[in-house]
Amino acid sequence: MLKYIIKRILLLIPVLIGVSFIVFTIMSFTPGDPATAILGNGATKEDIQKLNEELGYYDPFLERYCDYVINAVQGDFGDSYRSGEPVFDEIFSRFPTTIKLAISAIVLAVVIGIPIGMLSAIKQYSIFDVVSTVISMFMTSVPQFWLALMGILIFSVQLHILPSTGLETWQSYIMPVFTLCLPCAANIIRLTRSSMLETIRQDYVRTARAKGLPERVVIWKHAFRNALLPVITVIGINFGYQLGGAVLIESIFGIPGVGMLTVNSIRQKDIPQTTASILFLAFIYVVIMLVVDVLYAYVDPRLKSKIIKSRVKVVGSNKKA
Amino acid sequence: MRKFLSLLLAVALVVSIFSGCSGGGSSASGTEESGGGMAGGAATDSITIAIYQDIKTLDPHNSGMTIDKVVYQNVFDCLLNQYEGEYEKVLVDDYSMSEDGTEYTFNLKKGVKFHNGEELKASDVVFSMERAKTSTNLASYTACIDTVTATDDYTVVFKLTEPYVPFLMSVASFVPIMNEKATTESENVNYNPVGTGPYKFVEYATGQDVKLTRFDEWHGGSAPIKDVTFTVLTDTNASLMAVESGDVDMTYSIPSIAVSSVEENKDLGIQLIPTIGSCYIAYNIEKAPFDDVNFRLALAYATNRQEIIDVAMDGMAESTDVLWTEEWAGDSDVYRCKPYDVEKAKEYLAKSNYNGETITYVAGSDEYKKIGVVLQEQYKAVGINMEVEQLETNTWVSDMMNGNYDITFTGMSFDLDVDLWKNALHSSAIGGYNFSRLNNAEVDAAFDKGTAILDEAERAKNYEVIEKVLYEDAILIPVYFKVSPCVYNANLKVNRTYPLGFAKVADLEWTA
Repeated sequence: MLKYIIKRILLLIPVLIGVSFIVFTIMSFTPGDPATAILGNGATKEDIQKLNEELGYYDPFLERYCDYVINAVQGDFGDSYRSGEPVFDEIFSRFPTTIKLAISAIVLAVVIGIPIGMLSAIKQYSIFDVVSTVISMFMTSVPQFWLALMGILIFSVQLHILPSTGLETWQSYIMPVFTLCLPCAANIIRLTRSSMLETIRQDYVRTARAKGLPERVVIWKHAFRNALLPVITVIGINFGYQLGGAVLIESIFGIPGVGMLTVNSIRQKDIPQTTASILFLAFIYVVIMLVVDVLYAYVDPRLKSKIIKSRVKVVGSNKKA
Repeated sequence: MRKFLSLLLAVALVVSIFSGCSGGGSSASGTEESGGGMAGGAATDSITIAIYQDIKTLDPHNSGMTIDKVVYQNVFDCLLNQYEGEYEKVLVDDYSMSEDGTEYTFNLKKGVKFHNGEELKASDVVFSMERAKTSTNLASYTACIDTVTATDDYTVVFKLTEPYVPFLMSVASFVPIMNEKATTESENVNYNPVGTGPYKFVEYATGQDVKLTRFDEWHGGSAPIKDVTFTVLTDTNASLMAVESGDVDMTYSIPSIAVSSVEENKDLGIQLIPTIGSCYIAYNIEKAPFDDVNFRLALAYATNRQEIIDVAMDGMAESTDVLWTEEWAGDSDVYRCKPYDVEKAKEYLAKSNYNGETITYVAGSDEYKKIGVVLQEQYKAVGINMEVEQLETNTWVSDMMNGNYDITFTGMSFDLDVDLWKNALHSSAIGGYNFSRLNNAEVDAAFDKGTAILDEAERAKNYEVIEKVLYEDAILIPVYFKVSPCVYNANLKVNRTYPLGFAKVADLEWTA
């Protein structure tokens, strides 16, 4: 298992090189230059040219990219064109906010989604099942920004019980976390339900029931664990999405997260900041997917044995040689 | 036992994340004083103002963004303040200009304090001007200065390379005065500003907010409100709702469609501040059919400004048939763009060499796309076929600069002197902001001569030729001036606003 994890971590290197190359290429070959974005329309052509030269914008693309990679390997990812500060200073200053929101939202989504999905499956076609299915369909379909704005309208403007902006008190987390969590919870409900329904119709579940095992044991020990596999993937993907893609929620609630930083730096043609932010998000995403894969093996013993078997094979072939 | 341990570790992880991360965002702290709480409409000693994007820097010499100025104009003073066409003395007792217009002398007020306790001296002014001269953002404004010297502690003499009439506007009331010692000794001037303004810097949390507090030794007296928080709220709907809920006291960014509902809301006040943002239809006059003056005049006559404002802007703009008004120094007010007249449009179109080909309108934003759709209908009514395309903003700007476009809608914000429009109309700006690619010797000569003409009437007469070329040859079509919607708690009194579209915090006060 450890070897598998190390192999996956090493795979990060080509992924990050690939991501950096793609982002750098896109940012370099799209029209527009950083100086125009930075200086605004009061600047003369000469001012724009001078600043672009200072920023190294006129150097050949490959030269700029190679310089970037060489510096990045030494830990220098450059300074933001916008603020003049090292790019990771800003990312790290915003990441705690992003991770707090993402973890809260995902934990809440799991706490809401899995039990409701399971109950829906166990009590298929009951009132509870119908209601939860309708609500989860609604939550999946409705855009997040609409949920957020409705939340502000009801709880801030009308009822005055929750703040509409900022993250200064625990109350201010409620609306952003719920807005992020609900569509994700709805996905988990739907997936847990369908996965459970599929599992409880399997032969081994029937066998377990035929053996006379109590229903609680059949569901928890035999069905639930197997039904959980696809749900874990969805949780992982949603978590990754919430780390980088919660831009709308961040903009509506005035939350300074990594998503907003990335979007703003793209708008301002801030190449170092954009590249670093996307690299960082790609890194986090790959790590999350690695954790998901490891969890797979933990939840599904079949996978664990496959990994071990493949290792035995490799060792065996070495011996033969 | 293993399960219990796993659960315990999971709980510990979540708790540590929350406790370790409390506070969020990094902060650059200037002074240790607290910035006061959220106003929420209840606390009348503080105010929270929503800004539509994060600031770039609070170093006034290295900023080109309006939003930075909205914040730093409360921290820094300039020598003069331009308000409603007059120059108010801020840091000076008096000032004078030599007869030939090449020398300005400023006598500084005595006893003006910087936020670090130092007194304002002529050396600070010299330092600030020298620093501004080397700044990419201010170089074009300060290029007129040859030398700036302190003849004693309270007298500063500017020698100009040649007479430059916009000097008071582009230097004396534009370049903020910084404290020499604090600026040179500071490790990070960006977020450690020391000026002489009514508010001093407290804290900046990136992407979140900037906090200021009243400077009690301000030379202009005492500002009515003590603590100020500029909070970043990029979504216009959320921004309006934050003011409605009382979490924010003032915002400059609301959806245009919401103006009428805000006007009916008794808990809110609204001012539509006319700005210097002049918006116009531009086309590449080097390209057919726009190279034909008759076709351009047909476009001008076919443009219904009020319909554009009503339909595409929800009424939130001020119609104009000129690029600059009498507020701009040098305005001659003789020529105007052609009015809306469908018959004349058809007449000029018939005279032109337009053959029914489809012209392409490119938009750089959703707002400009809506304008394009309205124009498409207006031009169709006179027989001009136009298609509307939207481009990514950077691509759009780049295409306009390089002349790779037919027709577009754009806006420019130049301060209140006609001379500054040379950045968009002089032939040297082709490839820059001269999107129409106007290359006219008379226009260039008027711009080149205009800054040295001291007599106001003569100067206006000089610029008349530019207005004539622009409107008689329909080089572009002015449509509207942007307005900045300032929405605030009804208990707040806004005493003054500026053409940048914003108010200074010292001009705000709570009435209840």
